[in-house]
Amino acid sequence: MPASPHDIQFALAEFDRSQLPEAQRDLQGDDFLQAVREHLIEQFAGHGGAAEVAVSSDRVIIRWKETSEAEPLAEQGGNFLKHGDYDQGIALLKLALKRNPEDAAALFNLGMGLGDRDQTGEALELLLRLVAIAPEYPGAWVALGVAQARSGQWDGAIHSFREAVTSDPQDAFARKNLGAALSQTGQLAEARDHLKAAVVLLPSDAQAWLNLAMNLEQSGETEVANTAYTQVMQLDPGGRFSELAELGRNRITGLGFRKAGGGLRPDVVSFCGEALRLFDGMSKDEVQRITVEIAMLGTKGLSVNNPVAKHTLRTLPGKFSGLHLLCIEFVGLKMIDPSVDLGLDISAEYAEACRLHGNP
Amino acid sequence: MSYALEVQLLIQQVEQLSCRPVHVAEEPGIKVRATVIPARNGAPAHLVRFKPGAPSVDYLVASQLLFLVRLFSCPVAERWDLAAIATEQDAGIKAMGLGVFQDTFARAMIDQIVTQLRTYSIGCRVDDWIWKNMPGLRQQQEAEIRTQLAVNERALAPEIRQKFPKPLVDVNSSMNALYATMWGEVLREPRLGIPFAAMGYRAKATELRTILEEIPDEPASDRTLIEGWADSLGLTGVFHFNLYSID
Repeated sequence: MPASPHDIQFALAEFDRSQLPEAQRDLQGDDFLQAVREHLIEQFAGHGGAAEVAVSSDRVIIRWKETSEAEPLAEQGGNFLKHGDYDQGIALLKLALKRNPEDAAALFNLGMGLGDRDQTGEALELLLRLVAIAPEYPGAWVALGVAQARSGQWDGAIHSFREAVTSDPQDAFARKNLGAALSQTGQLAEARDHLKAAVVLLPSDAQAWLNLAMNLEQSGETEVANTAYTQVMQLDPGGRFSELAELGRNRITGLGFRKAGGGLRPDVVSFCGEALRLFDGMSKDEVQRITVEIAMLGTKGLSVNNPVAKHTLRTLPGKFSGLHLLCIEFVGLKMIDPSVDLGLDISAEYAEACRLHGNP
Repeated sequence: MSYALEVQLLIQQVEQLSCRPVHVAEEPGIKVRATVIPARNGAPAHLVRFKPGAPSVDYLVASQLLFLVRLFSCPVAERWDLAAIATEQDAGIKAMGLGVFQDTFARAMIDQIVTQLRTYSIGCRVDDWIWKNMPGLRQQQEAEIRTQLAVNERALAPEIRQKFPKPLVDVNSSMNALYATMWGEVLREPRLGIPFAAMGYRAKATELRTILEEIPDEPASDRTLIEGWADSLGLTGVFHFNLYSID
């Protein structure tokens, strides 16, 4: 019959420093607060519930939460990590390891938690211990590979991901990460096989599709890459992966322009001509304002492949497609600073527009 | 109001031991959960009072009755009341740092801490006996004890502690620490003692526990137990024992 939950509070000044390990008894400031917090979490751990402990500059607040069954410490710690409470989670996981240095779940969760907090060295050490003790622990090799990749140890990462794939060829995350690591090290062909397997296993994973799209783009398979990028944008509309996919599609379009050789695109010639006429009566400052606004829009990813999507500018009335805006930006930059490379080679169309406009 | 069979048997036991009836009733406005006034100076009955609407009446009444059972189990010459004359109270006021308060309030505080000394020390015996011998009341007992534990935990808040002088607060918290530690063991919830340990009361709680365990659990030793705790808590000389007389 548990008591109803309530906070226990007491003054920090009343905390008995002799409760702390000898090395921590003289700590001051934030280090002392942290030591008190960790001590209390450790004291409450493993008693059939979980204590949330907050230590401010003047008081300690403990909120005890009953659980119907006592979860193992490693599980409790892992749950805190899942909910974003890294301080509490890491403290519990360290305690679990103190009690049992071979607790595989604690090694795994703590390794992941520290990795997320950019404490890669310690994370690597724990995950190496994990694969030495329990190589079959689910996700162990992938977690190690991710930590190795984070610290730039690509060979080690590839080895770890390969171990994971060997152990379970249907492990989608192992495939995805192995593909990404191989792509990173230029082993595009082998990477592609794993990335293709990953999107089959994880058809709704935008990141897996993005990895595949980038690999395909790097491999020169631009048409398929474009399709994969489109898939990313459908799976992650407005998201970070979508932005990267948009940039990829623009790169491919730019590549397409360069490869087109002699054939001029009339729509681009027309847009450049409009821009030349627009800028004709303008001062350099006005041109610069419009160009900069388009450039700013472009950092979020302007689609040159979608004529339907329209954009508006503060500096210019009307609605414009992405390609139209890039043409205006291109012309503007030619007037302001011709050395800037937009990454979209429409110089032939621009030259034709200049000729038609009467500029040499 | 009818009480559990265990309680009725206890009432009979007290009545047989003391040759006085026991009167049990609700008392509106009572500040504690339950209290007992043994018959004295020819009073016709022992009075057990409890808070109206208390959900654990059987346990509350039983625990009060067991104080009487222990008292009347002793030979007549070894039945004691706790009392304090003005000079003893003065000594307590000084020892507990209560001199800064108004005299009436300070004396009331001394009365309270001496009452806690008695009810917690003998209460440990009483509660232990109920836990072991009255399984039918265990649910009520646990509920009441958890309520008391929660009250004691809340009393750790700085806002409450800073209202009273530290010596008094320390005596109160030391006894509460032992209570939390012991019930933490019985209820298999050692976490209950952690806040008290964090505040440095573990050593004093252990000292009180040692005294409790070293003194025989016999009603005739209750006076020695109270004296032992008083010595440990700095309350010696704050009260004295009067021979209890029912007539």
